[in-house]
Amino acid sequence: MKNTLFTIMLCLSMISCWYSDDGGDTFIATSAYEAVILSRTELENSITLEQARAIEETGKIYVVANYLFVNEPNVGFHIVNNTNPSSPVVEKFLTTPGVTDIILKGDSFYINQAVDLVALKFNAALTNITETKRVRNVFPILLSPDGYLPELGTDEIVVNWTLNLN
Amino acid sequence: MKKIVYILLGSFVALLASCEADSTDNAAMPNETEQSGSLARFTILNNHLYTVDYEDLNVFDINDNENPVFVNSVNVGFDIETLFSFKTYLYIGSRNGMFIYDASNFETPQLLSSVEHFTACDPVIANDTHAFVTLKGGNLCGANLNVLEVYDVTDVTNPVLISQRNLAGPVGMAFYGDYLFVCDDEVKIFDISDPENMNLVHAINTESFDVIIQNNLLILVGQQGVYQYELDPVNIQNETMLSTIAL
Repeated sequence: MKNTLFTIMLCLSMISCWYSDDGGDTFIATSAYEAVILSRTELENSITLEQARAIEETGKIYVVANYLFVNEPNVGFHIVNNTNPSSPVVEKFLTTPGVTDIILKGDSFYINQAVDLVALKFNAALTNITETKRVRNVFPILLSPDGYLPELGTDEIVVNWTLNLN
Repeated sequence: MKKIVYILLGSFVALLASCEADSTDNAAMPNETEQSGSLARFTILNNHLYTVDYEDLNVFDINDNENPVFVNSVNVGFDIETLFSFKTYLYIGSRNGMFIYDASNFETPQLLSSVEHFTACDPVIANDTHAFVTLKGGNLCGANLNVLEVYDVTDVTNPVLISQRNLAGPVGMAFYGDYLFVCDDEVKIFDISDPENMNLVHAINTESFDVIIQNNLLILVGQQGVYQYELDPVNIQNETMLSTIAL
């Protein structure tokens, strides 16, 4: 521990562009965000196709044929029927906690779900989704927007961070 | 305590990284029917899925679509933000710079070159000859720089900065023929037929952070919603608003 502290002090002394007049108190403060945590079992049972819902926060977008996928960051995707771009219809919501990205090959979708990569397939009527493969623990733990690691028990996975209003 | 150690070490690594010249490029093959915005972290080349996270470029074999297999992870740097592919090249945008990898050896991408910034680096997109990078200031360690940079990448092992232009707070980008669309305080459209001397030819007054252009359809996503326009291929200043999906 002494060594670690020494290393930290050394780092601090060298981080000139992080210098602040408050002596770096920001490093000691806790995150302004609270982790949203799921158990591994909850995570693996969390992907569901649901009724359309209002967009609360926009993330990345992805176009697949006549559909537009609009990410709700770390929550899921709004699936928009964009056959007529003058009157797009938000048809479904794909709940996938921990997701920010999606890409398609053939009829398989690949998403990140927190620390996992998941391969998904829709049925033709777009009423059901099947997980064909889950590659576990290939991505790093999701840090808070202000750079903190969550306190996690065994088998716990952080899928999002919400602003702590206290 | 663990948290603090992590953050301190992280920031130290970030500083080190920013002091080294690093660059990666990736190239994306636009597909007629599927397309990502420039903020994407996933891309597919030659039956392989490439993803970037904070520090690594990961490779998955997806020859069997339904059964992705993790095959490799390459440490790229720190604060990786975006991944774009063109031909067999992977262009990676990070807060510290741009990296170009060659993925012609599918499972073991090779670093070709890198360029470094001291400010936040948002996405990078590229064509045969040039890479376009937006830098948005106001991030950790960043001077308040908001710039669009153009690199000559004719030699991908040696990207050369040939032009830069101050903007308000640029993020996503997309190509449309001889034009580059940049999500800034409004959507700015540059004529890039001579990339060394880009001309601002038009702007669309919509706040957005990423953009996809498919044929003549312009799709913008901003904090307040998703906006679509029909572009006029013979008159860049003559777009038609089609719809808004508001929050």
